[in-house]
Amino acid sequence: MAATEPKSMSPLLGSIVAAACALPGVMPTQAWAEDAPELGVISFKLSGYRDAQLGQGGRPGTAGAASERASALSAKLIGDGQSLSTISRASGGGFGGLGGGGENSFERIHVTSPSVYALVPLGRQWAAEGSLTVDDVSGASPAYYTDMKGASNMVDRRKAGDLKLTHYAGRQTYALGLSHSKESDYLSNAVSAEARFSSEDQNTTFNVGLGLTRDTIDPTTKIVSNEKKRTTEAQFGITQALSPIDLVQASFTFSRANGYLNDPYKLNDDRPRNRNAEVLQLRWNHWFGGSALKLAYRLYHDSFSVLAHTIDLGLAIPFSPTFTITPAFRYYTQSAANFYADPSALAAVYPGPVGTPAYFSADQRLSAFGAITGGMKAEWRVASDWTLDAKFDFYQQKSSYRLIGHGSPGLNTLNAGMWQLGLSHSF
Amino acid sequence: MSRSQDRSLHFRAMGSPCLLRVAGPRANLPSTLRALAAAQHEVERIERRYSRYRADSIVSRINAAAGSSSAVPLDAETAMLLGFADRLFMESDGLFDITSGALRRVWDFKSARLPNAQALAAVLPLVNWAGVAWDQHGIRLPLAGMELDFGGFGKEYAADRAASVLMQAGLSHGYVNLGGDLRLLGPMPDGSPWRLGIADPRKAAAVRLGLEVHHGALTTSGDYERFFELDGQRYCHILNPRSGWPVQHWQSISVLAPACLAAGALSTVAMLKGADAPAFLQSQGVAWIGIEASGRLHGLDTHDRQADASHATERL
Repeated sequence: MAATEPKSMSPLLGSIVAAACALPGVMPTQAWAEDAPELGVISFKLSGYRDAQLGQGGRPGTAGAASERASALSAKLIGDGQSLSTISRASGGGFGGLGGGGENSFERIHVTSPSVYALVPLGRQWAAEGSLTVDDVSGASPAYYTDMKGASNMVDRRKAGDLKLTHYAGRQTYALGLSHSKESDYLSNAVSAEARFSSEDQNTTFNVGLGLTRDTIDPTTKIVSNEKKRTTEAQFGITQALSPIDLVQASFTFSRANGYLNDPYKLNDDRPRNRNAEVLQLRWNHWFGGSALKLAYRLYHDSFSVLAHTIDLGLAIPFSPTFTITPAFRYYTQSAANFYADPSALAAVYPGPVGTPAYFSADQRLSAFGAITGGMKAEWRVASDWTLDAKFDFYQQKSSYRLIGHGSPGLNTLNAGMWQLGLSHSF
Repeated sequence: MSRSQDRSLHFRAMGSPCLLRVAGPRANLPSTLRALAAAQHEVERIERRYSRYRADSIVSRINAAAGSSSAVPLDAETAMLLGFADRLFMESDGLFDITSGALRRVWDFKSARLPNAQALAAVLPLVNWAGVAWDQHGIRLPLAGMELDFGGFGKEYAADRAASVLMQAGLSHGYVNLGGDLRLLGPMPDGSPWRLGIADPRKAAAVRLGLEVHHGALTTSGDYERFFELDGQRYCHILNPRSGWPVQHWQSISVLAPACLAAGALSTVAMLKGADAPAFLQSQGVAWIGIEASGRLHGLDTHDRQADASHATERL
């Protein structure tokens, strides 16, 4: 081999080369700079939820599986091809599905939700995104634990929408979000602000976020009327590219909920009027071959004494450049709230407190249990600008699945299925 | 391992087969699909704007207004490209002239006939960039029959813009290939160079030599794309704007530069420079390979396959 420096390479670039490189867009401004999206996206999703629980007993929430829904702020790992997640439902009900009245969609048997999402780039530095969702909830309400008179059959409809405006300024990104959700008995409004900063080499990203939610609860039972709940959330996160094939993220979220945290459709449900919760989340994405392994762990703790762990495992396997299958598994375990009471063995009576405790709840979402979720997602790029996806999750919740300590006694296994069909178009 | 992390997008644009190829761990992310689509859109956008085969392109509108008294308004991007073409014109002593297109009317490569001297003399006055009145806001071709042609750098510009779209999406392994105009996003995922072939000007579909390149762009101008032979003499489509006759000194010249736009412009100018090409290319600080009419190689030491335009990039 001869000289390493080509003979014809002079030490200075010529004027023509410099002029060519100076034209806008010829050389990348920054390899990793977060640019406003250049393409708009519109997607339609139809999702459904159906569950079954043998025997009698209340329906616990789909705690682990639904946990992402209820937060005004939730961090998404960059590299998932998405910016920070949109606010899907800012009821502030809490991580781990431990909502107060906010989660009443989980109290029902059968939910079908069409939704539409659109992302519109506004010039080089701005993007707006928004979504609209309608949940049609129908089916028999659980016979037990529910005090909704004459409501063995019910139909309800939730309408929710959100809007987010993002400004891209070189290595910084700022976003402002608004969301609104309305049902006959529940109104929720939320606002969130997020900022992201990337290091000069773009290998490290910091994010901070603040979310405020105001809910109004007006249950048809008239147990209470015009009750309020306020939730404040703050989040700090850091994302680091460890190597070209390893991305790790850590985030910490603190949330404080004040006001009416009871479930108005449960008798004798009396919870503290404030709840502080802390969430630590760790994620690791690792690429090998063509596949991507996604691992996540979440630790949740709140002032109701609920301690929960979630482990997520996903593997995106591309079978072809246009077809990817992602099997995923989740394990969830939690301890009971300190005022949770086990159901009475006498099925004929409503559960009620023994004596006169300060707080009491028989909500199974506050019991000690474990849950597994197994799912599969298929994504098919039909054309360069059209993508179809389908997803199915099976969820099973059991007291005996609890990992640390015993599960709460007297609760039946809950099985649930969730599916989603989506069609996305970029333009 | 890393070789399976590869994603390609093939399409046709600018009359050429186009390929966008990305490799590495990010190749299979959903965002990469969007980036590839955006890069393709960018190529198609530039084609729509600057193709002289599209009646609605700015180039066609300028050409249609040739000889009229009113100027065609210019947008910022077109004005910048014209500024670059103007610079090329001056630095090449008038050899790179985007009004050369008029010569095509007298050179008929399909029928393999030499133009008659009168016809050639009649179109030569139409080749005159120096006579075009233009500024940032508008352009007017003074004579009816004059025409602009962005063919000398439009495809190269598109390759750079498409590569920038991909790089700004975080993709750093892969390349853009628009009909042989190559712009790399970066080396292969394991850091090793891409092996790029330089076509043999005298043997169809054969590679004359391979180059290992990590960064930058590679383009080749040659006498083999459109030509005819008459009485043992080859007449190719690269025409000297002053004489109106095809160049003859080189079979092809390949240039490695930080950007495709630079490489393409320099390889075309070098073809026109003839025997002065080596000094000219050296003055521009780029690596190059020339294949002389005799078939002899010039330029980059051909034992040195580690050609790398990244040296040049770092000096920017």
